[in-house]
Amino acid sequence: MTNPILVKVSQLASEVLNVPVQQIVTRRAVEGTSVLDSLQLLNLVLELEQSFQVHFSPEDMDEMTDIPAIAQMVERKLSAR
Amino acid sequence: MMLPANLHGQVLRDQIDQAMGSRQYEQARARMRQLWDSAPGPATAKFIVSRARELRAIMPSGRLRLAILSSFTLDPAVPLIEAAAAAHGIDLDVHLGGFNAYAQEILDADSELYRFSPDVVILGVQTRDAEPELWDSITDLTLDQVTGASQRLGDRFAQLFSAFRLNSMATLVVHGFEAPDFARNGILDSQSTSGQRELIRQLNTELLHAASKHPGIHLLDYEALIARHGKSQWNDEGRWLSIRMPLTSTALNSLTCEWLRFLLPAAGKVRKALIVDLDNTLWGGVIAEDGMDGIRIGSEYPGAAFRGLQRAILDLYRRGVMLAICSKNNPADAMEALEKHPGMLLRREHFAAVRINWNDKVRNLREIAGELNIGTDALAFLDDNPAEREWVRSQMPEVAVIELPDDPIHYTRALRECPHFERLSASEEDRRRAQYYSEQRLRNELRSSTGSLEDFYRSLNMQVEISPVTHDQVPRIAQLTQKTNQFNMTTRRYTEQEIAAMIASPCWRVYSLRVADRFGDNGLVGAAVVRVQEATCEIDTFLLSCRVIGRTIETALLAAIATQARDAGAHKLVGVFVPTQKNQPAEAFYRSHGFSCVRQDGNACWWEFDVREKSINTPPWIEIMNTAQEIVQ
Repeated sequence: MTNPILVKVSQLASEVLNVPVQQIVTRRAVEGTSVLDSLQLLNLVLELEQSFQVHFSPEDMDEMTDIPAIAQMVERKLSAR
Repeated sequence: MMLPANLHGQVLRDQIDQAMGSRQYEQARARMRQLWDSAPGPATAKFIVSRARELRAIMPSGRLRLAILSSFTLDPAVPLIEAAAAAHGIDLDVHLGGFNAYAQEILDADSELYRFSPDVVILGVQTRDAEPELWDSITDLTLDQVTGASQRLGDRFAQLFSAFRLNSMATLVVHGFEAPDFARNGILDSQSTSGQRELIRQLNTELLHAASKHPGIHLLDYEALIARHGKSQWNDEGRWLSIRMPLTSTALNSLTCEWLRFLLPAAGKVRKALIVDLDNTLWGGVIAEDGMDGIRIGSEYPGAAFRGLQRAILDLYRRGVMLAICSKNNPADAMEALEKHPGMLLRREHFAAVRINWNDKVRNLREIAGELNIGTDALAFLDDNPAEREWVRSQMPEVAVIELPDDPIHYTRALRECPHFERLSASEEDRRRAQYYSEQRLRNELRSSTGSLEDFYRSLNMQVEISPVTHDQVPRIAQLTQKTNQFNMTTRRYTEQEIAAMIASPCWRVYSLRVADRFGDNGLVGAAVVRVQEATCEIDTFLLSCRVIGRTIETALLAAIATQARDAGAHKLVGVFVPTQKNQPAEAFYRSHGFSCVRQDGNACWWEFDVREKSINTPPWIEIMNTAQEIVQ
């Protein structure tokens, strides 16, 4: 795991969700669902918005199925600035 | 040197774990405060809450049961407020009410809310949820319909408050109503006294009137809170429309900070004194180098920034916060500026204690706490120098060290933002406190000039008034039980609601004690709560403010209680002493007044006094103006 954004997102997710970093990245979702329950996801989104100074729309939240997907989304938002 | 925020956060986390590892729990708590202030948010909250849980098992601090009721999604606020409270030494148990189920929870006497038996309840209802017509479709309504809708809303909240007070003694904090970012009638709205914004202002006034009919219901000015941060920074429309969570992540942090302002005084965590530095804090520049003409303080910039800070400090003084100076300086130079500089708002008489010397500030702070007769955990410290702040934080973690930004322009905001000095109600005693302390200086001077202690007592011409507590004294009595630590036999904390219930019950007697002497009126400085059970009167609470300790006034209060117990037919007066870290001054009290120890349970000790056989005499140098007995009869 060398992508710095993925590292940071994983670390924050690990803290917010209280799950070891290694487990968090390898967790995969069943198609169309998220590995996180809605409150966990909301807490993580709030943390990421503050840490990266980005904003997520309701549609973004629907697409947050696993941690690598979330990290890619953060990366896209940062590069679009 | 300032570290980047994330690195700084990691350093603080390591410091917290190190402090926990080496059992410096107060230090761990101070670093938690620092971490929370520097990076509030969900990740920090998880970290603090997990460490605070460990702390809770080892060193329990003030516990508080908080219920949050709201009309919108507030789940993410729960870990945030838990962390903020833990960092300030409050172990919080939180109950979050069901989504938009606040009215049912309040009206149903058997609801989860009341079963939880909260100490504090927060009620946050958005205007658009409370009365959607007044928010969204107000332009469809006639003036009569608008009046009707706002009347309904006012009545509904008045009923909620009454129902709440019937079922709970908890402190209730109610969010005021907010106005929409754009009034629905455009600029026309502000041309009319019946516009939407004006209507919401009136609704808030009605809310205040309804709240003021009950003790312990407090308004949180939600509109002002949003204005401080800006409506566009506060609201997240997408999240509101999708998951009914109207707040941005930063707004959630700010909201929990605002809640903390209410929780701290509700938990009795109030700082009594602010200790300030001089050079580059109260004024710009260094008085010893720049001189009277060179320091920057006054109505013009850059002196105006420091004057703004002085104004904020003076506001705290008016609220009853004691002020003291702790400065490394040449005393003569500093005193000249304090007494003579035309730009200063703060003067020598505003400060209850002064340490202008070259000593270690930690030593000075300890001396100041001793001189003011308060614990070091009642101090807050304001200093522009980060090294001094860090030194105090490391040596006295119980002191609230106020973080100042680099630019003095923002000093005023930093002080006004900090939650340590909030009070839930302002008593006359609060407003006059600072004056009492300057009178105290004169008493101490007299004490050192008179011979025996008895001569000193006589020379004070003390007049004491002991009477049953009246309704208007309830806030002050509750405050005394919340704040008095030293001369306090049981340190039981009571809310205004609980005191009000006791004075209404025939099973309880609640006494107030006022003291005046030749130097001035000390005000309401003592209280006692007695539970009457057939032939036994048990002293549940007996306390005296630290500013009148050591003047035999406690004997006068005990004498009045014993006399009234005997006259009412009691046989026994029972007193309990529950030791804490701070109430050592009260330890020998019952023994020295002829009580015998009848039971010991843990550290607590039960004392008995047979009122039929013995009596307690009021010291001859105290003139009793009236007694509980006279008032009762």
